[in-house]
Amino acid sequence: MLSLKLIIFLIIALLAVSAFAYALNKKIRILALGAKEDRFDHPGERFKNFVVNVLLQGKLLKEYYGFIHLFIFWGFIFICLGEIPFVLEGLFPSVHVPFLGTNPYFFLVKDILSSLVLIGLIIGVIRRWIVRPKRLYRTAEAAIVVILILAVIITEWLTSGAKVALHADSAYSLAFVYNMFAGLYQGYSPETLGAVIEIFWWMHVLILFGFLVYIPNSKHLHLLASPFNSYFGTLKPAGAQIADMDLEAKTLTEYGVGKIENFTWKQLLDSFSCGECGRCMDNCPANISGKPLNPKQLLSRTLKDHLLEKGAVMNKLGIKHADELSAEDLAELTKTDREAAQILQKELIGDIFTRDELWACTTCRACQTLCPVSNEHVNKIIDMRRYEVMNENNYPEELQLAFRNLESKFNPWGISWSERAVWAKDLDVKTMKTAENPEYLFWVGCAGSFDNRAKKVSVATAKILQAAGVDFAILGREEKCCGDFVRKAGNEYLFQLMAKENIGILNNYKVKKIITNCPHCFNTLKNEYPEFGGNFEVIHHTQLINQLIKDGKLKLNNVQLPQQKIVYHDSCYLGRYQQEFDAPRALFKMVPGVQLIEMDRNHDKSFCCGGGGARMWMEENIGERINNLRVEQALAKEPQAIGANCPFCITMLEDGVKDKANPEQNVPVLDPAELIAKML
Amino acid sequence: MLERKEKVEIVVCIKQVPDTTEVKIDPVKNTLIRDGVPSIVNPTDECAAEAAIRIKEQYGGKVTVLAMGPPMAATALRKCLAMGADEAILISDFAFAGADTWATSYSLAKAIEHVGKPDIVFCGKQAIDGDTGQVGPGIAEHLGLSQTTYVQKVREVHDDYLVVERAFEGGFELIKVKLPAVITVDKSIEPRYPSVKGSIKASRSEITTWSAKDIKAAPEKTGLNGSTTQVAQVFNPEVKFWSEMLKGKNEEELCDLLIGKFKEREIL
Repeated sequence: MLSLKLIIFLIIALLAVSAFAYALNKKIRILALGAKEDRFDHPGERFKNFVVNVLLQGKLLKEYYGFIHLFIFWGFIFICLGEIPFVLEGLFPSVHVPFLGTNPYFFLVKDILSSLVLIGLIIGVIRRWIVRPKRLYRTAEAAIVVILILAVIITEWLTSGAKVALHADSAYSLAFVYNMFAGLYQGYSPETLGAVIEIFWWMHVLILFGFLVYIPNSKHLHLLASPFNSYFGTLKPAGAQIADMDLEAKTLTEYGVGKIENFTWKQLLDSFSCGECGRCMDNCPANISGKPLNPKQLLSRTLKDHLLEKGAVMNKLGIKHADELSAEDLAELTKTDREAAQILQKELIGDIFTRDELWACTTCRACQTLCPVSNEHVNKIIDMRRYEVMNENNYPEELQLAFRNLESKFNPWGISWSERAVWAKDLDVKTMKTAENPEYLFWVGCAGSFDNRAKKVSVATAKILQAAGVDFAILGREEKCCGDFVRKAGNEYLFQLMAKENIGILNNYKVKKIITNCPHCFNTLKNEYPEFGGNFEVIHHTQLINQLIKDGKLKLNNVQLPQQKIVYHDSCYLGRYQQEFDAPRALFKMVPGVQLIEMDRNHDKSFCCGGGGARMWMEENIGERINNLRVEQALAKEPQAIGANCPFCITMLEDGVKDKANPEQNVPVLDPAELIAKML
Repeated sequence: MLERKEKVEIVVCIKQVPDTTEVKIDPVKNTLIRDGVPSIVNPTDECAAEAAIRIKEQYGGKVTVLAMGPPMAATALRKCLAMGADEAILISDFAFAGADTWATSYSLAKAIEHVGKPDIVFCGKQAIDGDTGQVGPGIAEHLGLSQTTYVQKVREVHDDYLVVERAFEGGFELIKVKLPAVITVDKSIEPRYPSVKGSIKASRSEITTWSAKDIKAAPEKTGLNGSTTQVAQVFNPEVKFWSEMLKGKNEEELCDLLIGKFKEREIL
């Protein structure tokens, strides 16, 4: 016969599990509204990412306080395992769950981990509510979960301590916390202990079920979503993640994403996975410089709230897409359910996410690189830009000029295409037309061809290549913009136009290996052109120069150069996008008299110059200028020069130096090739 | 003011030209070297398309863009479709090859007749490659339409006439021109940047192609046969620079030196 205790327990359990399943089902149905995307390939590789980033918390541990989460994560798993014997023994006192209920080492580990969770929670509370970093939100949700975890741990200790006091089981012999709590009950009669066990057991069970129901209904959905998000995270290289768009497909009538249900299910899962740690906003140049864009707010609040609200209405109406409703349907709905109709009519861009936010992103990838749950922020921005540019014809005016220039002059500066090779007129540089199957093509890029400052780097590179006897040629007038900035601005049409023309020319000359100065060209040629039939081995000039020196092909003279401290700036597109941090640094270190120093934000956490993501061609009217912030960070190290590796960074930082450094303080921004060229 | 009530039928004649900042001429063939030079819509023809599309947007109707040239000229027509033109027609035939302005305007006029009876024919004032400015007026002559050239603005559109500003150096004439008419426009009518959606749609559009036979053009009047002029020679002008720094003690001496130099070179 069922005991009363068991009946009550079963009723509560049934209610709690139902509420949990109901809430979870609602979320899954909302995810199912998203567009299709295949993230089920390469299960082995995906499982590896799951192990590294979920079980081992790899991305979290890149920051030292990531250990707090590591404790809580593993503590939580052991606490959950411990619930099995705890609950069962409470219901059926004679039952002993094998291993979990009998092994003293399990209880030892669980005690250690539970203590670490407790310590972790205390540090977390101190950080969030006393240290108060900007990136952590002090919300009721955050407080509730801390209290719930604390209550789960403590009621379990109080119950188990009483159990030990009542009857010293050998299973608990190593459980030091249990024994410590048993000490609290000294002098209690067995009857009292029995009552204490009952009371705390029930308290524990009720809190546990409360927690279960709370998880899918709060930001702690993170617990359920993020392990899947890590598994389904993109496997593509950092620079090759922009979504394909077949412009020739006749079925394609709407470009980009202008409605939340047009994001893929994985993009929607990102919002559910966000744990609001704020690493993204802590490293976002737009956010730090006072622009309205906040990557954390975007994912965990703006998009999520809209998704939940709109998804619920759509599921209620039984539609997969807001477009399924005609104008008459909507008018009808307005009469019966005004609020639902209003929700369906909200514009993703405009009502939910503002255009100032949308255009503030520099595509620097800091958010995505550092996100511990493998969220993919940048593509969302580009998808929405595509919608604005391609569908709505609504984008910042300055971009139109750059687009026009690209179409008519094949470079964003708008300088005549016929002047592309003028920088090389005094150098004996061959063009592909006259050279005979050279080993390398030197892809100069628009900046290197037209921008007076960047031309100097092109000249230095060409001289170094010549000194090392590298067999290379340039395309000259046949080179066109690689299309990087138009793609990041959402103009996929113009990008594909440029890409296809360039690839046609490159394949016609049977180009295999490409050298480039520009990390943006580098990424586009290497990672984005393969999709359109352009497969090249691309190398950044700093990488090649290192190689030439190593192979003994480039001999450097030991010239006398001034002693100088150079502070190094990683460009986003060579650093985070290609994970190349060492090659430019190595070159600077070879230059006599140079002492290379780092900024506080370096390598993976380098701070964008402000020129990426088509921002180079747009006005920066909101907040502080990103390039000025970066220059301030550089000047704080009191350098004689700033080292860089990207023509756009050089331009942006030089502008910043003009704004921020004293006029008498001449702080040049240098590419390492310019110094190496002095040693020829 | 009596504004137009009826829809407007407009034909815009455009030409695909090489986008060249430094014109190079083939000394043997006497033609422009087009190798490696990208092609564009002749700039004022784009303005003509813009003028037509603006009228259509205001009064309704249809804009047909028309070009004569090799099949690759379809790219230029597509640009105008992207801007908002409704239909594009390319007349392309070996019979049109080697045409001068007279034969070109004849062929275009025949094509316009084949399109129908447009209210307005817009052209750019002149093409940047040939620079004659004669094709627009030629069309008007062939079709027997009224014409106004160098138009900088279309002020009013009525059922049977237009009021336009005809530019000249330092000012403009206000002209009332009877419809149907040929209007050639200058660069004052800023062409729009086509939307990406428009460009994609245009890139997928069919371009109607007509041969000389299709438009019932008389063989003796088209191409080289129909041309009354022939280019004898085209050449790059030889640019001769002469510069010399003169030094003298004072202005008077410098002036004397300068006059001496001028006399030496028979300038004075």
